[in-house]
Amino acid sequence: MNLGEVKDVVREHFGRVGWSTTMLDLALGSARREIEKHAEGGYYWMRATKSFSTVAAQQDYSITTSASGGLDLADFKDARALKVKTTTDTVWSDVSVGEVTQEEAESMFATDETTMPLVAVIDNVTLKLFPVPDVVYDMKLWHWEWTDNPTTNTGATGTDELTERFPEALIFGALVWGSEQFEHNSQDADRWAQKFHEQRALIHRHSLERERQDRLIFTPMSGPYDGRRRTSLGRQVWV
Amino acid sequence: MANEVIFKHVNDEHLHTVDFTDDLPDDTTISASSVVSAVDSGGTADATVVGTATQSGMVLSCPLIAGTNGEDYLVTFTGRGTTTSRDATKTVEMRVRNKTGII
Repeated sequence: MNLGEVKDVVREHFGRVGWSTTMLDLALGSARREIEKHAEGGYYWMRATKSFSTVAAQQDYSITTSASGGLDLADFKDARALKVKTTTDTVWSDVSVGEVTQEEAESMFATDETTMPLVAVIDNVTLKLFPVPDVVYDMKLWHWEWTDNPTTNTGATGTDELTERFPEALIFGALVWGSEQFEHNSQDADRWAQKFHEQRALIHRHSLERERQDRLIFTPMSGPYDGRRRTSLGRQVWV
Repeated sequence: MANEVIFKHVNDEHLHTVDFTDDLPDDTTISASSVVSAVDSGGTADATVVGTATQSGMVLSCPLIAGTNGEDYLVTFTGRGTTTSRDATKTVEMRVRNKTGII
């Protein structure tokens, strides 16, 4: 479906001219946020990467703004991985992110220690590097980003996965809003909420399948394969 | 919310008229400064969906043309009183749909 068709389906439930387009847009935006909030990390369409450079002797980097070498990621949700290399190198090295708390990181490294970063901590909207970079390094962040509904009717071009492949989720989510706010019909709202929940579960399952193929390795905590537990730390799910 | 909602096929030309008599009671005509403008659903101005506006007395007329299938345009008719120079506006939501079942 494209954006116009999604809107038309929702409107058919409330009358084509009864519910204002402004409120319909807000309801569709709410549906998208509800879907993405329930992702464990993020869904595959939320994947993104950001290349940036460290600044010599600077530990903190704003994630949401471009100030002082900041990453300028206004829709940042969470980090997936962080890599570092010298500017002349051709091979990336891992930087641990999301695995060590700031308190732990601060006690792991001396306050005046400067070298290639080994650990990164996300403190609210600031990326903190430990140790402090001594020179300019190339960095690459793999992360999840919140997405927005298309503002124009671009769904037909297939640029927005949620509108194109899971329009029912957006429609049911918007119908929950519409039933509650426009019709004040909580019974209908509950019915649409149930259908919305079912769609979210389908999206979750589909995304997990793709994620499993791309990234995750399931490893038993005990048994004949437990010797593999030490490989690829941070990429495994213990079952 | 728009004052009016219309559905239009991409190939249709819809002559839309707005009478500002009730909105500008101290005027008897609207001036040539009266204009018609449009934005798409993303809020970007789009002059391709409005033709040449004409004024007659207190009535502002403009052909609404073309558009992209599936888009909802907000077309704003702004009438300016010749005597008072006051502005009054009316908005029309133009939903461009090629599927005849919708229209």
